[in-house]
Amino acid sequence: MGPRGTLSAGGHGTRASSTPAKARPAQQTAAIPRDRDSSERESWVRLLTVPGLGPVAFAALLERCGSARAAFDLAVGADGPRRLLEALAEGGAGSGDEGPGTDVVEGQPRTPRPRCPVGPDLAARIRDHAEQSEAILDRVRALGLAVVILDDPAYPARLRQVEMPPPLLFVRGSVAALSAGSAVAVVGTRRPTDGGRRMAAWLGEALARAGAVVVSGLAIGIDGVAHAAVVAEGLATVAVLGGGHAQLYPKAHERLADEIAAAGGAVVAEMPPDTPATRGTFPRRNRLVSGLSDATVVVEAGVRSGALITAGWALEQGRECFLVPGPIGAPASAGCLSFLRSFPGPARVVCGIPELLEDLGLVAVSGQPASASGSPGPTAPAAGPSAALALLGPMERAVAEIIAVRSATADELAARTGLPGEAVLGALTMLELQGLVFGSFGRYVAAGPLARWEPGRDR
Amino acid sequence: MLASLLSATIHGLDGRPVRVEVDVAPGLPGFAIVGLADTALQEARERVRGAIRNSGYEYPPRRITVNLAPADLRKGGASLDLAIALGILVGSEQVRATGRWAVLGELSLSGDLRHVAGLLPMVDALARRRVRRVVVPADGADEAALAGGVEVVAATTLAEAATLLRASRRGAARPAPPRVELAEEVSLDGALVGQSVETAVPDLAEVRGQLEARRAVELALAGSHSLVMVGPPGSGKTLLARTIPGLLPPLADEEARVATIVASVAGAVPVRGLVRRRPFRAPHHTISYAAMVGGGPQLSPGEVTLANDGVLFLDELPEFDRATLEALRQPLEDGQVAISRVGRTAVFPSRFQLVAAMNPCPCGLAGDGDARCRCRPGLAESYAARISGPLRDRIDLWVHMPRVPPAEYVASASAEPSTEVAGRIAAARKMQLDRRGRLNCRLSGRALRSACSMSAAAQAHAVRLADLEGWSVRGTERLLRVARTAADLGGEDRVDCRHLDEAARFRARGRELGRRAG
Repeated sequence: MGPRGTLSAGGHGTRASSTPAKARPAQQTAAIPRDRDSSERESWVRLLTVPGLGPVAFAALLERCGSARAAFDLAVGADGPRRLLEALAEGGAGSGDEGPGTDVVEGQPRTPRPRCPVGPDLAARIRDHAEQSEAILDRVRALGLAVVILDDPAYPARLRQVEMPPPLLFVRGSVAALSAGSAVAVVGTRRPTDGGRRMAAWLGEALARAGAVVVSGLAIGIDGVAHAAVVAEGLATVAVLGGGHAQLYPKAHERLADEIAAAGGAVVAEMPPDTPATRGTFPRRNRLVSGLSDATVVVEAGVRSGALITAGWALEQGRECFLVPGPIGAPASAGCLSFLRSFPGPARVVCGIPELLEDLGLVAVSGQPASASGSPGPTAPAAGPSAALALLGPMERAVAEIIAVRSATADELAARTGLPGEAVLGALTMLELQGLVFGSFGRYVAAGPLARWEPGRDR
Repeated sequence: MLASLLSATIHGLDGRPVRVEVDVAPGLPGFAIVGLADTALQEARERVRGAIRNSGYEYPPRRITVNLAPADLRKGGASLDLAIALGILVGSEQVRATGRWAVLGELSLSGDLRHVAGLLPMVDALARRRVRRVVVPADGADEAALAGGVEVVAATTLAEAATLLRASRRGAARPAPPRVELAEEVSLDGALVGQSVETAVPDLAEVRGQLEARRAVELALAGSHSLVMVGPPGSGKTLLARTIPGLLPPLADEEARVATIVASVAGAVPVRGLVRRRPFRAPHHTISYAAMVGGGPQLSPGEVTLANDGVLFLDELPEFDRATLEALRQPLEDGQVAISRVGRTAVFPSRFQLVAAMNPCPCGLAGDGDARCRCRPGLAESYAARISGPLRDRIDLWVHMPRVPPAEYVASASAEPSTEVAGRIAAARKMQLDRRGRLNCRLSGRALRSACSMSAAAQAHAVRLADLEGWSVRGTERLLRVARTAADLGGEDRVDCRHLDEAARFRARGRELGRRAG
């Protein structure tokens, strides 16, 4: 991305018309030449990583100093904080539109004179942060991340519309993928059933083929399966991280993240690279998953699943929200069902992939599961899985056919195929190396093309 | 009068000859032992006093000084009791000794001689000192006789030992004072315990299902590769591990010699003959650091040494103390462990094969069918992370053992019995010993490469496997060793792609462990 030593947004589209109230006036943005663009981006990173500097203070700095860069330049040096405070006082006096509502901390509307949210404490902290922020920027450059700020034309328009959009996005891969024509989130539990896993793979593949970017959270389980299904097609998917890029969580998906970036998708974080993912960062991440998408589809969710938080955000952000129903009493579907009950109307049900695509206004592409409209479930796509399976020997095929329907242990496979033990283990080794099967705690689960393949009948 | 006798003590696995000098001098009655004696040895004063009185001799009311030479060697245990007591008898001129004698044994207050641990290496050390005859406790005579090169004379009591020294003046003629036995002596003979363990080895035919784990155990035992079995409670991990003693070939001569010495030093019970059974040690997870690697005041061997040339089975691997597990790394790699305390060091052999079992998560049900595990996501990972990366890297084979469904348990398709598998393992081991004189797990560098002759295609495949996974040299070597063993089990000279694939698959499970793949 971009020339060395500078930060680029990775793409320059037309500037979106809706400017958030707290950002700078539009003409100023247009006047900033390109090289100043990158330094302005850097300044956003510098200011927004200052501990204790929130959106209100940041908005005040932008407004009164003209730009983040100007604000930061003022704060540097021994008497930086004093200069910054003076400038803020002047700026506050100079601009005509300020009133108690715009630059006063909420909750103190009766302050006699307009008070600036940046105090001497914060000003000193901005100055002291200079060194650390340089380290953060170095880290961003070293990792090859693009920084997209709220003012960038490349900032995804969908996300800009949500309340309190994250001012910074650190992006690995294609920034353009964030602003694709249509984007659908596929999320779900970290402990899916075989059926949920297969559903996620079908959905990921069908949505990606229909031209939508699949957005998810890179988590173990449904998220990962959905991402992987899209990557397997060589199409773009967007993964939103709970922490920073250098603290990628879960570690098991490091390679998947590489593949996503390589396949023209994007891995996004709103935190600087070294921020660890913690319990508190995931709900924020979920807000981005739904905010980056036109619609959110929950495949499987237990009653306390984080996927339901994403679904809740989607409704709050005015996006569509779909849930895949499951049998009553199945723990993995209990959350979906109770969500459907709690929000009848806005929460919609998925009754089949063609129907979902129709509801989303997407056009199914022929040769994919959606073409078999009216069937109880999507049938196997003609090309992909069958082609891979056609290359298998008879023993591998026998084993693969069983696993495609339902995960099984080596013993079960031996019993069902009637093959000798060594033959089953040999077949499993082959299937595993071809990526058609993976072992999970001794059970073998279909993966890759095999995960989307259903032999003839349904289970 | 001064008496001087030869005896021995134990340092690590070696016997160390000790000269016991006893001076019985006029003066205020007293009894002092000098020469770096530990507590057990200081208490010899009380045992020796009682034993002498109760054997019909007179405890001289004089000033007794016992010097143990060499003075700078730390001495412990009770093996010097007999020498001290006889020294006092000779020093007080109740017994006259002739010849070059060495004596070993612990005394009871009644004057009975008791077995001491480490008799074999002590007698061995004395034999190397050109001692002609050694008096040992009667129940250790068989063990002492294994040393060779020295005449072993058994004695059951202090009086008998004194008679053996010949030339007793008034000695044995004296009637021993009366004694009252209120309880029969408890037999310390371990034969009973040992036998019950032996008969308790289950047959492999009793293990239901677990196709994959059976294969992993066979591979691991054939090349002495380290193995970890992961599965929910009741999946048969422990049962499978308990079949291992029945699958291993007996010890070879040199191995048996070392094993016998280790058993002698560790044993509370005397060794009856050369130890031929491969050790199988299964310490509980509350084991202390010193008990695992060795140590303590006597520099005693730990479990890693007791399992030398055999199997160290650690059930519930993540429950072991972290430091205890980390301490396994060096012995696993080097085959020996050096225990150093200020001023002394003992080196113990520790060529053990590590076999371990663990649950996939704290509740044990992760991956058990339909998401029955109630552990919070991420807990399985942190549970597995209790086993550090470096230790994990030293495990060659990982295998998951799913719960066996009741239908399968009831179904009576009989599994392969231990004898058949043991036959294959013995054949594969023989191939390895014939080829390089050592098992595959101890091949490395050039020896390993030349042992693993491969076709060009297989070579390219090995490179791909190693490269794909970003393995270290250590990882790649481990892959090749296991592949070599897989080929040996198949009776094949060359390693081909199938063997490499199988090795890679078993090793890869370690990396996926604790992460719910998907």
